Amino acid sequence: MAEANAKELKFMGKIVGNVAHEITNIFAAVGENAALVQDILTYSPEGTSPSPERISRAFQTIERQIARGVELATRLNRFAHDTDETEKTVDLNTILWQVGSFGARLARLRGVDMRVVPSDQPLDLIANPIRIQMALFDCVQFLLDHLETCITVVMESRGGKNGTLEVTFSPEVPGESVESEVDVLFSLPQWTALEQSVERSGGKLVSSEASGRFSVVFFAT
Amino acid sequence: MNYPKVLLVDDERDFVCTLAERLELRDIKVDIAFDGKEAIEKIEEREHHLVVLDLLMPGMPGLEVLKRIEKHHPNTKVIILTGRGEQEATEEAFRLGASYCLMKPMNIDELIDKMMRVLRSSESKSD
Repeated sequence: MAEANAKELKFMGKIVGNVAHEITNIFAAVGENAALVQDILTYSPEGTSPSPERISRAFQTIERQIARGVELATRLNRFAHDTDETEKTVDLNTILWQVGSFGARLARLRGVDMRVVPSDQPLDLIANPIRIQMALFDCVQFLLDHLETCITVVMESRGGKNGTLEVTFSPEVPGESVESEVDVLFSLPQWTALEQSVERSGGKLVSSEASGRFSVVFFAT
Repeated sequence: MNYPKVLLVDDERDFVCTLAERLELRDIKVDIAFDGKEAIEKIEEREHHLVVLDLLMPGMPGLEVLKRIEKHHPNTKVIILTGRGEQEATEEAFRLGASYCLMKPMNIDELIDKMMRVLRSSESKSD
């Protein structure tokens, strides 16, 4: 129990740390663009008007960065409230967007593009929202850590057979490297650790050895 | 010394492009790279006096870029400019040869002051 709690705390620390870093970058971009407007006014040669295009471009960048910050803060707020209850009804599609958003920068730093494909149907289940996000985040981390040539990770949610709900992870790896990397993927000790993380969230890990694809399966309630 | 060649390296495009524009308004011309690999390519094709380097970037992290610069271009000076607050990373950067570490968001006058100090010191060593 103590070990599980420590893992959850570590996971939350990682998410908050990543978001804090993103927010710093947003502030830096907003600050630079606000200062640029001031610079344009200060450095315009005497007798000439400052370029409206350059000023407009700076304001567009500020607007874009603020939108990025608002989106990030909204997700972080939702994440914070996910700790309010240890079990509640969650929509797997919302969880998927959340994990996709938090994992995107991590993936980008490894040169990997992350795509989220939610089901067009609501996928409700009763679960611990933090554990379920942690398990799905661990799946993303597992692929990033162990498929070095991976270029894209597709995360897709859907209703499965017999009332199950699934999240499938499909790594895209260029040509020849697929077999050699995928061959060992599911025999790694970290795969066993991932199975345990998924089980703690109430799910089950199912691999499809041919493609490196695997799914987390939940029983809907 | 010829006109100093400065390279800014950061994957945050909105930030680095604007910083370049602000430096140019102050008559400091700079090149830009958006990741570590592009930075190394630009340094290989054209020797730079100074690189202003982010730490967390896609592909090749900043510390790896710094190692390569120190090994293959020992005359190129490096200032770290990062949003990452971890002390270990900045200590490692100093250990690898970085001249200064600045945290984002930074004051442009402070950055220019550090840039000039580094460039002056490398100029006096080469005299």
